[in-house]
Amino acid sequence: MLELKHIYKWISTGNNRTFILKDINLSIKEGEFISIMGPSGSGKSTLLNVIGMLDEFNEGEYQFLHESVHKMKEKQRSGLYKQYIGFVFQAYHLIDELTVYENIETPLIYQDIKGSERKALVADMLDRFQIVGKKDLFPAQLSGGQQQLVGIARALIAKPKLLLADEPTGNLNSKQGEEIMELFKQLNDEGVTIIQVTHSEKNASYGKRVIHLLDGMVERS
Amino acid sequence: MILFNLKIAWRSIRRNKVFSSVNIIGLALSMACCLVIGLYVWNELHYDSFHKNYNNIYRVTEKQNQAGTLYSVAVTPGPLAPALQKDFPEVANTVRFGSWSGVLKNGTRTYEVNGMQATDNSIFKVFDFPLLKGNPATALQSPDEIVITESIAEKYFGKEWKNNPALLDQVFRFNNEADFKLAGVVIDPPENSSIRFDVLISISYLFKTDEWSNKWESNNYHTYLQLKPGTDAKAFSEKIRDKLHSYNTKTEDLMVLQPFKEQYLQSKFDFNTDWGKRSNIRYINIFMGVGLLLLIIACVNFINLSTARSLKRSMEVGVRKVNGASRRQLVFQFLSESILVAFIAGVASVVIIGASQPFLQKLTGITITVNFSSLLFLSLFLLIILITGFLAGLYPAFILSSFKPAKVFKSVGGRGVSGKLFRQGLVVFQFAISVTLIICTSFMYRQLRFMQQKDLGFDKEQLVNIRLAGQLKEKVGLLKNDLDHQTAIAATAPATMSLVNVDNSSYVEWEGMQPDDKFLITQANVDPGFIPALNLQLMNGSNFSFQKTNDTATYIVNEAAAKRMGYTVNNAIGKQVNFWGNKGAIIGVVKDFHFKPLSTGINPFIFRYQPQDRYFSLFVKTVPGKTQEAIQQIKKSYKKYESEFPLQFSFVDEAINELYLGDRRMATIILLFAGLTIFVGCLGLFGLTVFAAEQRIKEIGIRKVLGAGVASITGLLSKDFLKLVVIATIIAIPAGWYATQKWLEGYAYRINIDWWVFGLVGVAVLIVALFTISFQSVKAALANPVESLRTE
Repeated sequence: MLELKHIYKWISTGNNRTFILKDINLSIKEGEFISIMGPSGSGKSTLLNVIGMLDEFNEGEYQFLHESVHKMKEKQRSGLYKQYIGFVFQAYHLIDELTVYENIETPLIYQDIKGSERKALVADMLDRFQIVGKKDLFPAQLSGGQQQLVGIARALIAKPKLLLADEPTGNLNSKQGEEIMELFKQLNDEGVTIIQVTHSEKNASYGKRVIHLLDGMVERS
Repeated sequence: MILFNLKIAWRSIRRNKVFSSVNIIGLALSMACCLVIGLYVWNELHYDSFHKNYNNIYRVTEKQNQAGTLYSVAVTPGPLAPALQKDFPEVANTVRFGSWSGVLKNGTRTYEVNGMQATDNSIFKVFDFPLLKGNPATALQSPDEIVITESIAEKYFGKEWKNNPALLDQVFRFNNEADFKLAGVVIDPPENSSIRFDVLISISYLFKTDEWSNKWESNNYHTYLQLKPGTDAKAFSEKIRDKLHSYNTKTEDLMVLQPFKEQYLQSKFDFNTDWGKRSNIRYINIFMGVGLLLLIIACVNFINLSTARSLKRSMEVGVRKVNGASRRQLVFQFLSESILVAFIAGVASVVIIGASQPFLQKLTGITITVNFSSLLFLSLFLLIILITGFLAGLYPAFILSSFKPAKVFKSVGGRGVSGKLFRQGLVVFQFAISVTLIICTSFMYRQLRFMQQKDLGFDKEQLVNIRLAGQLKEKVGLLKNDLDHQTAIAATAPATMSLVNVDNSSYVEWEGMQPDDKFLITQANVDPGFIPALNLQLMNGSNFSFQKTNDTATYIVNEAAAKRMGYTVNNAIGKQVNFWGNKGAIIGVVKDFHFKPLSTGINPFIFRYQPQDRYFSLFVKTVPGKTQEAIQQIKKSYKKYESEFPLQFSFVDEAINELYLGDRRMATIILLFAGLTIFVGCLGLFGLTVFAAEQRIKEIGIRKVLGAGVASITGLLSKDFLKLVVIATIIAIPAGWYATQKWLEGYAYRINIDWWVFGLVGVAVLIVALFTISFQSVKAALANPVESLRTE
């Protein structure tokens, strides 16, 4: 599905280059469930952002669905991730002004999907995550676990091929975290490719493959 | 999509109460101002446009060269109109107006009519003043015809005048001299008509009775031409420019065509030769400029607060982008938000206008009728909302939508305070404008006070001016004698002028005059009581005397006249002067006194004493504290000698103050604007401190835990903003100085630009700003640090 070849990312401070990512080579097939682990500052989130095309890299090649991301312009890239990638964040990042329903609906609006179709898709999603009763509440009225559920529902609404999750359970208690992981597993079984960044060995074990990062390099995978 | 955006916008407005109310109040105030100004300006620019021939009507005016100075004169000779119509095929029609006044008597009702115009029948063809009664084809053709407006009709014939079958052909006696038949009732000239009248009389009456009306040498009439459609007015104006000479070989005066549509705003004529309703394009420009400034200041608030808040919103932008929002969609979203804010502000501004309308009218003296359902209002309303929405929203929209999601997520609660310098610049800009306006108003008020308090060279207090009418013009002595014996009256003196903006001038010849060294000298016929009664200072020579009268003429001139004739105060006495064909000697020189507004210098003046001539005014000096009593005595005596004309009198000091009414109103309006700009600016400052305090909440908490006191934290938060206000004041001082300097140039007698005023204004603004800022800073400083530090 995607392939990273010799990816480097650095920050120049004077004459020194501080490497954030160093010679990353990674190949991910459709249907995989990958956990990225590593200590703080090892470059996990940056790698995830690079895969998600939110962040740029300085050197290397990136093939996504046989297209060369490194040769694309900003606009093409954002077109690509809009269509194929869903994001889940540690801090949920729901929009405070929007209800649960509207938060989930947002990506569809940006893709100019018709109102009736949107309604059906959002209703499906609410059903599936069993949050129909909460659809008119605002994020502030939900618990952390519920907010993350909404965040995942929103990430999935546009039927992405790839789900990127940056410490999705980082702000949750262990029971809520477990539920989210179960959900991920289930999604993966349905065919969604998932890449998650995590600190916890336990969560990482849900993945089919674990990549360990240290100082911007793949330590083992 | 639009609905979706508006929904989000609405929620965002409600969630951020401080931000929204600061924005909305500021915008609403400025929009209210802009709307009122817009309506006013529109109305002013469309004066007279109700006439169908509006674009084809021109007024013939003259440029006269008098003693080397070129004067603009609005009046033309009576025979000019028919001559132009006969000689120039471009002229379709002509109308003349002569300003007249007098007393009209119908049955038992007698009223003094000031708005009387002598005019041609063609007025009904050229202008759109429809007749409610009477035949527009014939009315005013015969010299004994009169047409009155509906309000005059009501005055004479009651509310039911329309149902009076014998209305037409009613007879009005004019000044006890002639009878006029009522030939029609015309509508009252609309509010936006620069041509005003209450009564129209046939102009042919004047040609029959007034010898001057027929003469080419005498300029008495406003002459309007209706040119044929398609005429090149400019070329035509050139063509007739020097044609006056061919009608009257003695004159070198030139003719200038003034487009009728410029009459209201751009008329500037000398010698009080223009009449009707006039305004000044200068006011329009000042209003538009200030209104626009105010709107910009409110928009600056919006921009400032939006970008200050960008940190909070950056997260939202990141999320939206990650969820597939394109930049265009985000810009659109933020613009919808600002337009919604503008719309709410717009609605609020309508409420403000409604509530402040009566108050505004009193303050500014400008009648602003706001018809909220009119197309004009609605389109102006929408236009202002859209302009404001875009002006205020565009910059923040582009800034906010440019955030990169990866960066935003990385710096949770981090810096990201982009454009700080830009924001500071905007605050400086806002306050510089406010301070400039305040400096200008301070000097305007000082100048006004100066003009009110200045010694005019005569004693204007306790001075009543009785307008002489009817036989009293010739027999003022009767009234004077009577009044002189009253207890509440100190002195009396007749004159041919009002002492307020005197504009009755002629040429004079004097001993030692160079040929062609003509100049205009203002003149008045008085009696020997005048100079002592008004306390004019006789610098040399003697006053007129009641004993010496008819044998030879005597004159008293002011210093300016003596100087202009080449004399000194000392050697002027005894010099021979020829004024209006009466040769006589100068017997006295008086100290210069102000007979014109202080915007003009003091010109030469000559007093004559010719009791056999008519007088128009009787000045009465009342005994201090006995004004009411004096008025009663005047009323009683006046009635004894004049029953036909009602008594008309005025207080000279009030009449002089009246001269500066326009200046006073202008000052009030600018003060209002200055107040508004400072208020809106402070609103913005308040909003900014709120956000600064929010942004630095953690820092404040930490400092407090480390032992910082309330004062030091208040100082920390206030310092940055106060610095900006100080910079703004420094910028405003030269700007204010320059504007004041320019404005004061319009006054021949003016105040000095004192430096302490700048200092005072600066300190005052600083105090207001400090108050605004500390309101929030103190609150932030008092907050419990545990609260602010717990949030992580």
